[in-house]
Amino acid sequence: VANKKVDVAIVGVGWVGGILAAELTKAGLTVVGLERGHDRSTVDWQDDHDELRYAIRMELFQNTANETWTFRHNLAETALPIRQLGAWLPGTGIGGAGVHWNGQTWRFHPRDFTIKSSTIDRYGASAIPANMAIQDWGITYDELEPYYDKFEYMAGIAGKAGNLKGQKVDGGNVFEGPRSREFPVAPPEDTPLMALFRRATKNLGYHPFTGPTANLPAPYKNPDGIDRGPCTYCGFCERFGCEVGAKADPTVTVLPVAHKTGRFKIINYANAFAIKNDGKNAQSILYYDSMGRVQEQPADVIVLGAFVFNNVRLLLNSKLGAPYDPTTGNGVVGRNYAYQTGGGGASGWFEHEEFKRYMGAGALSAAMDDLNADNFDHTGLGFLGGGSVSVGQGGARPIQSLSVPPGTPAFGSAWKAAVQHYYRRVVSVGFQGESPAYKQHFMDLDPHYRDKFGNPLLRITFDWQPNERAMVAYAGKKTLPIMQEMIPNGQVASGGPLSPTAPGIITGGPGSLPAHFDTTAYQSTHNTGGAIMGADPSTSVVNSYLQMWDASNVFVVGACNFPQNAGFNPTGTVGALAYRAAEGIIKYHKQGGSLV
Amino acid sequence: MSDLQAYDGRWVAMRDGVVVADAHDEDGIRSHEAVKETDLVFPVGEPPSGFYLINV
Repeated sequence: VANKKVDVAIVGVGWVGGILAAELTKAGLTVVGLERGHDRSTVDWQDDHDELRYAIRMELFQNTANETWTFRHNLAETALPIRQLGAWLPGTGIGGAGVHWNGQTWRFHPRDFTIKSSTIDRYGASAIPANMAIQDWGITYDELEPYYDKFEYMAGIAGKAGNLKGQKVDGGNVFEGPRSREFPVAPPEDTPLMALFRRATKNLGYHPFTGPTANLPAPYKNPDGIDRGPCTYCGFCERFGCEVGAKADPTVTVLPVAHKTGRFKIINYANAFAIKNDGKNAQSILYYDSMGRVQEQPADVIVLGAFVFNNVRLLLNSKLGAPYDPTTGNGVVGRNYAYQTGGGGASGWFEHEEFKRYMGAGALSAAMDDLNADNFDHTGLGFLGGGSVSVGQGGARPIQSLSVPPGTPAFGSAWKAAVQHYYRRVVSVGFQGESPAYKQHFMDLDPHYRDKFGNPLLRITFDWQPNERAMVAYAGKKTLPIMQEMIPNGQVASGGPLSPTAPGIITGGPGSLPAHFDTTAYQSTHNTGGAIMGADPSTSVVNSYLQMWDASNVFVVGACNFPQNAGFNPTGTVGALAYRAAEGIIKYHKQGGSLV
Repeated sequence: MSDLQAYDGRWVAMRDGVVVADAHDEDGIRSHEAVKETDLVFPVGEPPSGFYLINV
């Protein structure tokens, strides 16, 4: 028996589902959200500083015993299932990844949205490697700016503008695109560590600023009337829910707004597995309920608002849109899988300075953007792209934040003494790089492995490419001098004996990536692509309103829309796209048809 | 495309996806007679020790 038909049914109740639920119900539409996990709120995190439970045993994340992915590096390999969470940590439950994120809330650069045409304009078509599949988004930064603004004011993002209506502003990110107005909340004060990074990078001619954060430094009331209090700097953001609601997440921002309308209903423990459709339009979402029974949720509009992998898998299992074929280049669903490129950082162990590392917030950082995107001339460098550089004070949890200099014994009293000595003295300058799309990086259905319900797993094909290896090598050469500026006369560890009188020990230099991508070591949950947006139905799944080209009443929204990934955390852009989709759905519900 | 597994811990020079030379360090690879200025040059292997914050 099917559930009662509603105006809009959404798969996934994270940031995308929450934003859409709030915006659509405010507009008078009835909405159902299907969530595979369960309900939760701030009260669940009142006593949650349990690193073993949340960060090591990963309580808030997808259970790979129920559903996982298979992975291979190239077409010649046989993909194998990922049995334990490693490289990435997709969330589950109400609020999704929006509950366990850190809160770093960036806008992508104007160039990121026109990456292919901008690259050709500046460097010529030959600068793009033959197998690289970067493409323009089908929307410009200026077109998306009002939606970024909506997300930031809803979430109470703290920061300082570096570009107000085209006017560069010192102290903000002078490389960013024009903002229509200032951030809704002033940035947090510098910690001594952030101030040190700011001085060091300024001395080297860079342009540091405070990283934009969703961890409120001060009380804030948003345009929906939601009041939230400030951060206590407990340092338990990443992999944890916020115990005071200071970190913007869907459960303390948009979901209360949707519930208040009386037009929003959540069905928990609902595992969506297919979208019923006739090839032109969708009629309903099919899902397994908590008892494993098949249920059906009909709706005028279907929204896929789950994590990247789940959205793409649902499309493929539902035979919605043409699957991408890497051998011909035809098809769209699954193409342009991309990730986030790490490496290229530098670390320092100070002898004479201590930092209160045990205090912090997930997005409390000082950053610079001089080495990101196309903010520097790539002529003669041999690679495209860049990344953001930052020093973060996210809180140093007792298990995973221990770090000792190279050469320290791996156990015993000397190791213990070093852990104690350096706990407050170790600092990292990190680099978070772009991940361009490639023709051979994609997602499809695995022909061999299935989930607990018997449905095919998603297969991911991905590996590091020479462009990113050269980019990371370059980044490491740039972050090392920053750390050297932060520890004047610090000794760079090079395998030889360390001086007992050095003011600090430094590691860094040309960054490198493993011979092959490693699925077992945590790197980033910034997986992107597979249902990408664009202006051409032959190379994209959705249009600029995130409406499917092949089924006008289906909207697919999230980081799956990114044609490639930028050198920033993705959530700000995901939020902006969700607001854009909300506007499109309201319009579609009135008039029908294609929105472009 | 060359498989880089055999070059773990070394610097390589790559041309059109194929490794044309490898060496112990950057100076060695840059001065290698088989390497052209336009080749991509990079190290292969785990990043230097330390910790790096790439956030969820």
